[in-house]
Amino acid sequence: MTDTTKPPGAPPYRVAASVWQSIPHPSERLIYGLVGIVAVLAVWEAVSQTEVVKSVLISRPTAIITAAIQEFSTGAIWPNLQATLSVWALGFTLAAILGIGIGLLSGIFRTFRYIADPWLNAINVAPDLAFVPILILWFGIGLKFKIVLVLLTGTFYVAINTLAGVRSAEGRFLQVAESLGASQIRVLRTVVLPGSVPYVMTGLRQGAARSIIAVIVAEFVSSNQGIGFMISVAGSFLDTATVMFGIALLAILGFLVSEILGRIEHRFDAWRPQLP
Amino acid sequence: MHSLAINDVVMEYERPRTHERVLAIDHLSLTIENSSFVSVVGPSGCGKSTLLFIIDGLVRPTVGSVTIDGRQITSPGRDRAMVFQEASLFPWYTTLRNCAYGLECQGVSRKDAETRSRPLLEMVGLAGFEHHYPHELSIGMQQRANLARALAVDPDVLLMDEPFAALDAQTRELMQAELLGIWAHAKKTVVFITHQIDEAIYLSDRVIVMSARPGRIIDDIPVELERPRSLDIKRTPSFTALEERIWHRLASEVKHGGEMERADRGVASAP
Repeated sequence: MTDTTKPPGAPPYRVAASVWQSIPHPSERLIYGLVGIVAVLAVWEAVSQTEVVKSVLISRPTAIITAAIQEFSTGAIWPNLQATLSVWALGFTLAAILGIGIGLLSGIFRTFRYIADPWLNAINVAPDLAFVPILILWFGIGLKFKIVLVLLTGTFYVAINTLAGVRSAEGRFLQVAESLGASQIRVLRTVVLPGSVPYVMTGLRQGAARSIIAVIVAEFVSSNQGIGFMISVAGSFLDTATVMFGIALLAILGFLVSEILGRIEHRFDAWRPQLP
Repeated sequence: MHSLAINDVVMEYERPRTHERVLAIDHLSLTIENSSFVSVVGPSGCGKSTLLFIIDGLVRPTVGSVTIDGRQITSPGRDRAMVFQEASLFPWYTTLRNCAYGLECQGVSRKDAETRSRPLLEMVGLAGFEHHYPHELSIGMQQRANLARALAVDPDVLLMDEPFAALDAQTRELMQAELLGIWAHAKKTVVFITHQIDEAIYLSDRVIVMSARPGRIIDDIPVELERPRSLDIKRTPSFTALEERIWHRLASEVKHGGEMERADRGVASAP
């Protein structure tokens, strides 16, 4: 082909001309990432051991690991983990269904969008956690309250991203479909929906992460179970190691959820050009 | 004689932001005989693509009508198919599914539609690429797939909107020759929009020259070069004479219309 021609004696194609263009070694990312983590943990441990800062305030990595081992070996963690995950799973599933529904309806029907838009915007700017007192008033402090808080938080992200996805349907693709005689339903199924999948998945990822926060806050406020409850109780007993363990556990949870949704997304968009 | 007739079409639209009324096409009439290959050239923005959209039924003219064999066109139909400019394949479908899309829209089952599409992909030289996604194809291959998609519904009229504009010069010439080969077999009416004067002459029985906006027909030139035509014909005196004529016809329009790409050879370069 024409683009393979190269002047004789030209330098190799990839040249590290400057820091902006230098090519990373494949394992560079992993190595530096680990080095960074280990370094921070080491400094943390040292500062805590030498009591430069009171260790009861900041705990220390070894103590956190001990707390983790104890939580898992006694099995004390399981009911808490189960409580948090089940509230989250139930709440977020409902939020995903509701969010995709609202997003699709507002994307497809202009009237619906005009009605829903102010409310979506209002919920967007209002911090959802400010609803906690009134939600407790309405729903008490049981499961219902937690689910509603998760719904309030998660639905919004899924809905606005789904709406953006539907609205992103490109005119040229719509024209192609219309030109070939596609019905409205077929246009929705074959043009609008496939094009909006990446948006919906972004919404699900954001919504999932936010929903976990909502569950934890709900457990802080009113619960006798869950990771949030565990953290809150440990905090009141100055058990900082367990608090830190709880936070680490939530971080890992968030990471796993994002990873799983990423995999699911990948199944849906084999057609997209993959970035290196 | 069956034919495609454009009857005194006027197209006026309003710019969304400024609400300015724009006259895109001004009382244009044209009759195209069945199975003939007609190209439309004109300066950028002269309404030639709009004209094609009107024939397809995607756009309704402000005044006037388009009829095929006497029937008035009000919407897209099975008797017409459009080959759009580049990147109009659905990126989420494979080449085969894209090609089968039109048949599926007509109620043919997916399996049958795909079976019927395979020979067309073969005809345009895409055998072996049925399960590739558009982004895995070169622009030239994407345009072949576009053509196959339009041919798959077996239309009487093929509407082509600058299909080769994004291709490099060599690929474009190759595709022109292949298109003529396919057309010779299929014997469909083709309305072909292009910027390239040499492309228009090489492919067509007739070249319609449009004015700068508002678009009107300013010349209607029969091309009486014998078929089948090889690419060498572009270097013959009769070919270059036609190029010269169309170029001069357009030159004054281009000054207030937009730029017009010249053929690479045969005609002295314009300033």
